[in-house]
Amino acid sequence: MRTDKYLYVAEWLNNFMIVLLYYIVVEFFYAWAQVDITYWAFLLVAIIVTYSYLCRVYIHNLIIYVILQIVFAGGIILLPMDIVLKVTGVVVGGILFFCNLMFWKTEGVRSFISLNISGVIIPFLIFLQASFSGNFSLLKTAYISGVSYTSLFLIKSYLNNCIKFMSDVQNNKNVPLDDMFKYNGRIVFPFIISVTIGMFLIRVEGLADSLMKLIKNGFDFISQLMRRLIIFIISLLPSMEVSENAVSGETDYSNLVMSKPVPSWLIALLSAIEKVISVVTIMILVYIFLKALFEFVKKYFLRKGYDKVMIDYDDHVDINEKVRHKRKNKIIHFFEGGNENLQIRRIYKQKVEKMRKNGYRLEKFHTPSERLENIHEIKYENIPEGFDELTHNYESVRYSRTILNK
Amino acid sequence: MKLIIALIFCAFFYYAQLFIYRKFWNKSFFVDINFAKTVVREGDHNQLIEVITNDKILPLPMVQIKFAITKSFIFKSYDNSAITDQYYRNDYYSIMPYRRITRTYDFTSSKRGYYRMKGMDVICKDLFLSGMCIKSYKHEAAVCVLPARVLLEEFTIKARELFGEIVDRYNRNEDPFEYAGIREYRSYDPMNRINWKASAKVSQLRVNKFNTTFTQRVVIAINMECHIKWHEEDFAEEQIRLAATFADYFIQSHIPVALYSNGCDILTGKLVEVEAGADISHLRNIEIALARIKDNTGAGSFINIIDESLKNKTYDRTDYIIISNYRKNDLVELYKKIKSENIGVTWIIPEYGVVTPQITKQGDSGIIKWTVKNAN
Repeated sequence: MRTDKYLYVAEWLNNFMIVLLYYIVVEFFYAWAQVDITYWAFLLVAIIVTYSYLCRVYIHNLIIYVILQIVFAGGIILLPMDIVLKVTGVVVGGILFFCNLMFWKTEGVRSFISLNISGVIIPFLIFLQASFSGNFSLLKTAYISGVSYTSLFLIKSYLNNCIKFMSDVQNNKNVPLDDMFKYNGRIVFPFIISVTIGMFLIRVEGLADSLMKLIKNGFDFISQLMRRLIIFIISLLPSMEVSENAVSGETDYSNLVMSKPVPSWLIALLSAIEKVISVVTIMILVYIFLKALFEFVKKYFLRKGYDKVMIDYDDHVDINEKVRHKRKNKIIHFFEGGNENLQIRRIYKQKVEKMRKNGYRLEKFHTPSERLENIHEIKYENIPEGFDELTHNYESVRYSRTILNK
Repeated sequence: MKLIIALIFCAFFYYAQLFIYRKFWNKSFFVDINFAKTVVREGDHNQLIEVITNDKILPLPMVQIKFAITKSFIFKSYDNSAITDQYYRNDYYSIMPYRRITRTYDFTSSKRGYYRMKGMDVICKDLFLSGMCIKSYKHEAAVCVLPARVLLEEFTIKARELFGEIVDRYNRNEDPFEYAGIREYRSYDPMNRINWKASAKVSQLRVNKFNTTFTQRVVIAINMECHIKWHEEDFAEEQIRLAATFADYFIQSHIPVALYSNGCDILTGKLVEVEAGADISHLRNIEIALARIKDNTGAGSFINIIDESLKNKTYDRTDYIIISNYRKNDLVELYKKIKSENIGVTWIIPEYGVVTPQITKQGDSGIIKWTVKNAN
């Protein structure tokens, strides 16, 4: 069942968020105690939290739970680990043990409490503290924890909303849940990944400088190419002396020599041409890149693969098709905008379109008079002011040679 | 402070998508629900067509359309719906940019009437399915379900003779200047009526038809008030079916038919009244008027309506067909009054088979009982 799968994933995302919080607190205490931390600590915390979660979910007898916890604590102590790690394990395990004892009294779903976004305050405070104390390692871990916690929270929220949505529609059988979650997932998960990457990139030192350097290098490269091209073209002119290599059949652009010193205005002109061509080339490349990106988005999201699909269900038929637009000749409309007759026609069309959007059922076979009659017959509420006269004028300009003045 | 910048960055994008959806979800978004046929008959099949168009680049991952319609429409299945006083429908769609989804449901119209779907609610959610955007659309879609016909063969021979007599009386006294068409030759047709050119074309004898010299009409009067309130709806529906059947019968015989009733039109709220006419479009008008009958204004107003109609001396001859389950003294007196003025009148009393109205035992051949089948 999809609901179970989503619930399962959301549960374990929540557990991972708890692991992150516990770990960052553990690292904080290590930093405070000026003890070096290893990544085994992360693994230990993850194991302890997972064990505690499984106990909560599957153990229903308090005595058995206590015995299992004691055994687990004994196992941690007896494992061949660093003493600091052992102490960490016992402390974290002990905190979870007492939390679980409190949980045992309450009725309800046997699981960890679902964390809120406000939990990010813990890595944030530790980040602040690390910033002030200059602890680079703790700073980095707090940053990663905070960003990961936020991203995991977004995914968990989305999954919880999906579960809630599925429970809301459980009485409705023909809901296209597969399609909904497939299309939505294709947008939501890249969105979350992009935001996460963006959050990580913010911390990258000199990102802006790197980007500017990249652009400058690209510009210089294209400028170099243009310069070489221009020099090559100039070398083809008859007044140029050709090097010995050229006589023997080879052409080396760098060995071209001008017969006279190059005048400064020519150099300035060539530089200007080179810059213009470079800029235009960069613009063309950017345009090609954006167009390719747009085509990719259009193809991926706008489903250009098919124009029309018909699916026959038990009790209904669905036709999913692309919306096609007619090209409007805006240039003609621009020049003819001043014509009163066309203005009246345009105004009438706008009024009718507005009525349609407000709920009036537009029949294409109606003449303007019939439409007016129908509007009065059904006592349509939102009749535009002066619509009767407008209809009369519209009919005059549309179907006769009447030219109305202002 | 880079962590807070990162968190603000994340919050910005989350709320930006929420804002975009709240602001723009219904731009270039159109929903249209209508019926394939706007006029059908009782028992006919029809289609409910929902068209949802998303004419913009913003995808709508979850769109819910809710509307209500009469429960007399029988659909193939009732998934995604609830039936209480009406048929409440809940449809879900996931619609990508620049797409249109057309969903068609087949249904059967089980009851006559004029049914409107006045509006619908549309709910859209954002990418994270958290925010909910709701909009109500005013939408007028209507279907008119005409009454079914009854089989005239189920009437007694005596009753059919009465109706036949009305038709026959109409066809006497032809006006030779009122040409009405051509028909097949019958043995009693005089030779001077034969249309030789038409006969030569079809190699069979054809004669000219002429309209009658005097104006005649049939008035069908339906009394929506019932004798007792028990099963009033069944009798009312049967009366309407009978009226539609009679109107069809007489109009096919080219006899002008008028309709009067103490029922109110569902749209205008006025008494249902159709003046005499004899063409096919007039039959449709009568059927639509019958379909749109909603309430009744009481027996008193029915008697007034008939009294007013009797004052109309435009026509040389008027035959009344009163269809009324109500049979109290005031209506009986009216019936006798009409009969005493030598005006042709027939009273059809729809009633269940087990009940025999006392008035039908009086030996008056103009009062006929029509057996209504008990739906239970």
